[in-house]
Amino acid sequence: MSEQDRSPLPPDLDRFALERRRFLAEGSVYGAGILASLGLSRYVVAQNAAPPAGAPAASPRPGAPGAPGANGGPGGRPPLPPEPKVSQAAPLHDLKGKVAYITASSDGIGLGIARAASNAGMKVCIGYRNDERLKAALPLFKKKNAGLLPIKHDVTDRDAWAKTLEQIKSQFGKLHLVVNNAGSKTGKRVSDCPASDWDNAVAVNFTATYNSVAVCLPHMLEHGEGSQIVVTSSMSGLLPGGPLGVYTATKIAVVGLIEALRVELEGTTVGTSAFVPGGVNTDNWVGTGEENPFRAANRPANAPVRRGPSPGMDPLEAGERVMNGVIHNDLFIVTHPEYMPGTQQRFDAMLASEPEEDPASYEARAKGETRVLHAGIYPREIVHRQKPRKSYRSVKV
Amino acid sequence: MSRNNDKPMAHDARLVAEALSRRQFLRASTAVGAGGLIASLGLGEYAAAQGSQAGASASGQSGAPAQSRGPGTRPPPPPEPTVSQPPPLKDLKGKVAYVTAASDGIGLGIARAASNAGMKVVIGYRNEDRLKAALPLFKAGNAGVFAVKHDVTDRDGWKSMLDQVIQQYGKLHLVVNNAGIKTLRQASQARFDEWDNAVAVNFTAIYNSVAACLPHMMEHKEGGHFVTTASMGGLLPGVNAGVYTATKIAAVGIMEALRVELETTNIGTGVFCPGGVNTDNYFATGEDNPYHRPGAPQRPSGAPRPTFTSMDPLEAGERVMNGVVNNDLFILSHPEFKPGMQERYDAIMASTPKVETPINPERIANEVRVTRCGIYEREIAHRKVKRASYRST
Repeated sequence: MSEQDRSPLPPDLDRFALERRRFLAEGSVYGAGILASLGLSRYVVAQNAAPPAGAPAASPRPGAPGAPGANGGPGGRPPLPPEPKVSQAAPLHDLKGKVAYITASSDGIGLGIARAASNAGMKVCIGYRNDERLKAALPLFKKKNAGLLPIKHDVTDRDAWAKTLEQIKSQFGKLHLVVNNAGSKTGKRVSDCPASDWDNAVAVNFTATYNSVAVCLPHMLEHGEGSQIVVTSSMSGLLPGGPLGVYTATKIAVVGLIEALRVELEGTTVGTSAFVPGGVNTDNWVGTGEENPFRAANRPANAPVRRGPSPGMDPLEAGERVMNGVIHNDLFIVTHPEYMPGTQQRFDAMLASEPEEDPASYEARAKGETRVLHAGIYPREIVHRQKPRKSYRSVKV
Repeated sequence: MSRNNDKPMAHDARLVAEALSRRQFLRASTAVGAGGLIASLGLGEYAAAQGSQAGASASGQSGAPAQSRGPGTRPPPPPEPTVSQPPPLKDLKGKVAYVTAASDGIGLGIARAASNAGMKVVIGYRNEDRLKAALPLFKAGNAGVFAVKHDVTDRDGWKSMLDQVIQQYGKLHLVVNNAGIKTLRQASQARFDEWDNAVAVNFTAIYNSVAACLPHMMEHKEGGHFVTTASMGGLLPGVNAGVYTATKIAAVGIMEALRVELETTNIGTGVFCPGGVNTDNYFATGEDNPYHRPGAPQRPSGAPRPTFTSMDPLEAGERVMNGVVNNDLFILSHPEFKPGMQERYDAIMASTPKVETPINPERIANEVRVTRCGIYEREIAHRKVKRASYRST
């Protein structure tokens, strides 16, 4: 797929116009040029601001001539438009009959998610690369469940993403849930890593999720039924666990991408979640209690041998917790509370790094930064989390 | 394949190296310790000098039979450092700094501050006109200034940059990964080339700098430091432009990962997360920046000059140098973002699940090395120590 094939969304499908307008309106840090380049100049008018002077991508900077508030400094900007009051309602609260695509789901956590989705009444597309693993995984799905469609797919291949979507559409009509589960658990350090390993980890753990959005989001917005984009990150995406920096950095990156997507898509029919598991029993081969033969084959020569199940969470339970996060549209699907005190320390270290200065010394500056000082998705998520919720076990059918 | 793996399988050198690195993580080490890295660079004696647990040398263990044991039987974690890594680059005078994209904006502010602090400064640039305009901003009495044309996404370019710097100044001590692309595009809208370019510049370029410069810094042993200019967007997605946010969050993450890896070496790490900086205030002259956003409409002559309220780039640079001499992991300069950061962290903490199924205690025992990360406790303690004002640099 060439770069040019990525066409902008048709304006009538632009359900996040409100959000975009909130941020992109004249006088914001973005300038009106972006609105114009998206063919959305009418929103500039709606904001009682002059449309840009026919400029395409280049836009007047805030405070610059042509922008509202010019001559007046940042204080002259229009007031903030109203924000949503509550967190985005779960677009995929009813899973039955909907279609899920889980990348790398012939084994491990992906298989657990695929089985949980299938048990919850979804039609499930299984992304896989290894035929043997797929053959071993298929009998784990209950016969009476809705359909299964295996798709051989390398998530770093953008053309293949487009083909995958076509296959899913021709088999099931629509796609509602994408779980970007494929991940590369490289044991490499950032400080000691061949370039090819780095590039591969970035492509699989980070950019592949962008690929899924680029290809599947327009379809999801078009059919208008609630949809969800999920990524399997890791607790390493919230807390660097050890000197495996390539893994850590790419997993932190993809959590950030999901948060960014929530900001962007909050006003649409597409939800977003980052799944951040701790230890999951992926050595327990498809829930049999045997060591996973495919992992044994890839184990480095001197790595310790693991016999039988590790004490981590069962992959099916992990999958059920993911589906529970989907029906609630949780931004962060956390499953291992034992990591959270460590995570709090990370945040405390960041907060402790803010210099203590007289607020009067930066008051004027902060006024100009009003629009970026907060991200409303977080207070809304906190309120969302305080509501009563279904047990993850209720996902089972 | 048989599950009987008591005997070592056939292996090649790469697998052995992987096994060592993994084994150090899984068995022998805690969340810290770059001893293995030092050993792999043939600098094992340096690890001893740092008092770290270097582990046995690569050749000594590569042929040892794998041990078969359950996760519950791991040895207790070895002692961790009790304090945060002391600043390896405490004294800047006469040291050599390379600042990418330093012919303008924040990078120029950092380069000027480094130069004023007595460093020899290598200016990474791409646009000659900008460079020409920037050079007179450096004080004539300062130590040397050297310019290198360099695209940070070019890995060969990193190597030839390092060669040029070594030839000019002998050594390199500080790398500031300042080049960044402010792609104000939504991740849900960005074209493939926009995404790939942002990832290459804002994220992978940092890896490139480490791959090219770290071995040299380890070798000269005078202490080195890596700083990345991320953004407040790297801590808080306040901007509805996900390509920027996601890649800046990634840049913060890679610097934290590097701190974990390099904490016991003499290479420091920091990530600079500024809020508003006056990059439109051309060289702090109060004039519009003529190079900012090519094609942007010019201010009509006679129109009043806009007022700037955000931070001066030189002040931003001084704060970065202050972060370097203190070896701050997070170099923050805009306290007005603190409440917004707190909201993000509270939202993540509020996502902690209620325990519905009893947690297998073996699981927690098995995860004990990764459920906390010591660099943060140590950073909090480090931040409580009295520090010099940023102006002192």
